[in-house]
Amino acid sequence: MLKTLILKEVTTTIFDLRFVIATLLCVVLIPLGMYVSRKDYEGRLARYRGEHAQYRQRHGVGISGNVLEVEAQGFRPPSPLSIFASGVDSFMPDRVLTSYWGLYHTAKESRTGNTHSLLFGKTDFVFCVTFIVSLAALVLSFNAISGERETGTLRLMIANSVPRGHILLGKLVGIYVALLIPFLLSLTIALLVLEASPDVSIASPEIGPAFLVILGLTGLFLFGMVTLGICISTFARTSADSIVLSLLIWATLALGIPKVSPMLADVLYPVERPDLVNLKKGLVAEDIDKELVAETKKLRDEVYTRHNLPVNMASSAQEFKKADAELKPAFQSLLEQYRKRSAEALQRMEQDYRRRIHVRSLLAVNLSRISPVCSYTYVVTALSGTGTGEPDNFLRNAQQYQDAVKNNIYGKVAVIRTGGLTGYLYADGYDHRSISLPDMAYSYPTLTSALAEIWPDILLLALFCALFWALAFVRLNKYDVR
Amino acid sequence: MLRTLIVKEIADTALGLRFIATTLLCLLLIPLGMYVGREDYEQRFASYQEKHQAYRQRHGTPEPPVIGQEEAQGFRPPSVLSIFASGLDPFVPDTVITSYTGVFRTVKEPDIDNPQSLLFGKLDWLSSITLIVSLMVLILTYDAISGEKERGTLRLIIANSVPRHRILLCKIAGKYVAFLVPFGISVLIALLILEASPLISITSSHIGPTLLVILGVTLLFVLSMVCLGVCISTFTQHSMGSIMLLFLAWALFVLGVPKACPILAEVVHPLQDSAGIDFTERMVREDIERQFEQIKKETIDPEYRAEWDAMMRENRNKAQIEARLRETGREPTEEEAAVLNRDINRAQAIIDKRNEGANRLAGECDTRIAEALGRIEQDYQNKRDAQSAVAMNLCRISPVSCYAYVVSGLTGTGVTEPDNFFRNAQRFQNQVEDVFYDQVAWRLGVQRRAEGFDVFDPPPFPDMEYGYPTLAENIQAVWPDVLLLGLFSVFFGTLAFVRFSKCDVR
Repeated sequence: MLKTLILKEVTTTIFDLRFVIATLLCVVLIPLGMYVSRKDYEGRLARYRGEHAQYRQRHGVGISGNVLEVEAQGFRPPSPLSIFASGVDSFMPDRVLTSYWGLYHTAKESRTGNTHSLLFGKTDFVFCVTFIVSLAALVLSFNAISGERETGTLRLMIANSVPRGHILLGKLVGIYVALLIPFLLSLTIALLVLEASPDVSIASPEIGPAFLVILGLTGLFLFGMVTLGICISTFARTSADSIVLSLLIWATLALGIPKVSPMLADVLYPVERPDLVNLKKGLVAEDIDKELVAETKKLRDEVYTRHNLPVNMASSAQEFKKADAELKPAFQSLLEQYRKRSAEALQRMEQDYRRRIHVRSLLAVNLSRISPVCSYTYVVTALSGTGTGEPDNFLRNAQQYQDAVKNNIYGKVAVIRTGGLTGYLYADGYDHRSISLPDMAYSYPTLTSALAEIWPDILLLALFCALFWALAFVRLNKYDVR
Repeated sequence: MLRTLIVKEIADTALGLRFIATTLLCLLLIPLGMYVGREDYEQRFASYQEKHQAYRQRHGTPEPPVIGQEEAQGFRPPSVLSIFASGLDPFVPDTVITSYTGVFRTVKEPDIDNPQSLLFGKLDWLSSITLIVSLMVLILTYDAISGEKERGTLRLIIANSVPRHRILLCKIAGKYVAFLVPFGISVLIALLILEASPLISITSSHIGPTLLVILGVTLLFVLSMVCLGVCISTFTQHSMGSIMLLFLAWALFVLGVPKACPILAEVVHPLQDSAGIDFTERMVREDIERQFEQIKKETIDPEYRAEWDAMMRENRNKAQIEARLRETGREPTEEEAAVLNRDINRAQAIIDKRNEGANRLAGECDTRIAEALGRIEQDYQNKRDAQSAVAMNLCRISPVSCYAYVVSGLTGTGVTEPDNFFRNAQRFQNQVEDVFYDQVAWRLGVQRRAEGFDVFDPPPFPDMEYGYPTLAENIQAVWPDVLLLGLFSVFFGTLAFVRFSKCDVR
């Protein structure tokens, strides 16, 4: 009997106008979105390779000029999985620029590209699933129970001693299978479009496993939306009420909650803007630097005066060398002291800021998890390397790069500034002609670490399915089928 | 009868569950969006002021001596009207950094510290209206005709000799007025929230008139949605059919057309990647500089070296003659006297001649670079404009796109804002060149300095005066979209009338 019910459900859905509309929308938008995402990724990859090659050509081997002005650049490669979810990618910096003083900064290409696409947003895979396919799921399932009641077939089914649980299960599986047909068809076309790219291969180890996980979770999300539609149907007596309720709930889950939660979190726990924080950090670093210059000058003046040497001169004469030799350890110690002080001050500011950001972020995420659309978006964007954890990942990579450049270059040269004069103390074996600027080895989280981060959202998606099912079951048991 | 029908329509709508849901959503989302938009604007404005002040204090006047590496910076202030539509604001650069080369660069400080907001987008006025309000209006109106037909009340109304066009008009007017009540209240609350900000006054001359235009256009957009909902209702026999068609229409107009048309425009008019352009420009500039460096090495430098060597040889010769004469104590010969009397101290003249040649070459180099880059930029701009025009015209199939273009255009965050930014940036670059860079520059290893310019007492850099388009200019740019919104209302209304006139009410 269950098989008959499922088959009946699949047939009824397929021969409905709604199915045609859903198929049309899926078959047009999903492959088109994939095509554009692929072209966008190819463009970004070409740009990354071009800029990286040009940079290496310019700064091959050997550092010329003042080490203070040496800014090593690290470039962020685009994540291949960002084809599926653009997420925060459009807003992420492209590169890291290190600095001698430890305060790296990030930069982003400033040309705006296709302004209309930016104004209306991208049509990536996540958008298609959360907006088009989820809406299609609700539209296909909203009158599963209320519609049958209106047409009078529900009581006929129950009169045939069919348990209500079987009816519900039959509807759920039947509508879900019917929904999967246009979705998988359009996805197949989209994957063929993707595979045609010379830069992307679905079967590659960096894309394949993650894509399978995304596909599985998409299936779970759509199952949840079908269950939701059926659940709504058990709460309404007529199809008209069902659809209105469905659309209202969909608008709340897909539009309202995702956009309102970050706003609410910002209202409940406001945090300073990042450019203001960076400005303050820059000012603190500059002030400490000014103090260092003053102290260095004072020390030099004291020693030079003791040696009866003019304080505003530098020379390679014997008496100057003697005074400089006496100053060297003192300079190094002073530099070390101020570097430490600067690093501590900046680190304190950064940690305080990060802590506040983290609290606000946690609040926003937890508020938004009321909606399965948010949970699904978090899951797919995290797997694609374009999620809410990507900014932190970028900053970690940036800091690692800054440290690498410091170990290879900055840490081997001590710059002593005494007002108008600048001197350099080189570490043993340092040769600026043979040293080269290191590359940034940018790493995205692995599949395992991404899954470890997003398991609460995966669990929530499953719980939503269970919740909607349970609600629907309870309601159907009390449902007046007459 | 008209008034009775309208009042009946208003009562019908206001006493339904859908109206309560619409009211709740409007009252919650519109004021909340406005509050957060206001807070965000205040923070961005404070940040802009601090950055500007810090810059003026520390780098506003270049530190003497001027060494040819100074760069004046200009900052883009946030548009107060961006509270209504964030549009392209997150993507437009913040800072212009001018340079001696004549090619400014722009910087956009990445703001990635609220990734949830970036992931899901802001619920500003534009999003609230295009996503939520449009859906609510369609939900309120989808069964205007088909619902009455199902219940059997439509034939009763027509049986009372009420003309069909009057029924339709009353439906549209009634639904429109009923929706305006919760919408109006939520807008009023939102405006009060806005007025409570110390930085914003909605009655000020640069906000008030634009705000009125935005409200007017919003009312026009809502009317077009009401007409669309009623029109959908005339095409079907049952409410269920209406809701299906409503779903399709909403998905197409709000999600499909605005997102798909720019994609189609990119396919029809593909454009070189913007960073590829930057790369090309950099390569062209370096090539030209290398060419001129080569010309200098082949012409000016050898000539300079030859003249300098000749002068040094004469110096040595003169010194040798003097030494010989001292040793021998004799009088110089005629030839020797000629050498001794010749003015060989012409080092400055040789240097001046070289500098003059290098300056001339540097000027030609600058001109060639500017021409080449200008050509590249112009070509890119033309292609981009063509693509943009195709995208815009395709998007205008949807009233939602038209509304988005109007509001984002009026708030200074629309598709033309990047061009406006670049115009301001170019103006600033030209201004700094006039005051500073043209007075002193380094090219091909030679310093050029205008008369009266003191490298040890340089003038302060000028400030960038960023100009947003005026209301008149904006209206001139967006009037086609406003007209289209009006036409959409007329079109949907006419379509509804034609369908309803043929409709079988039994």
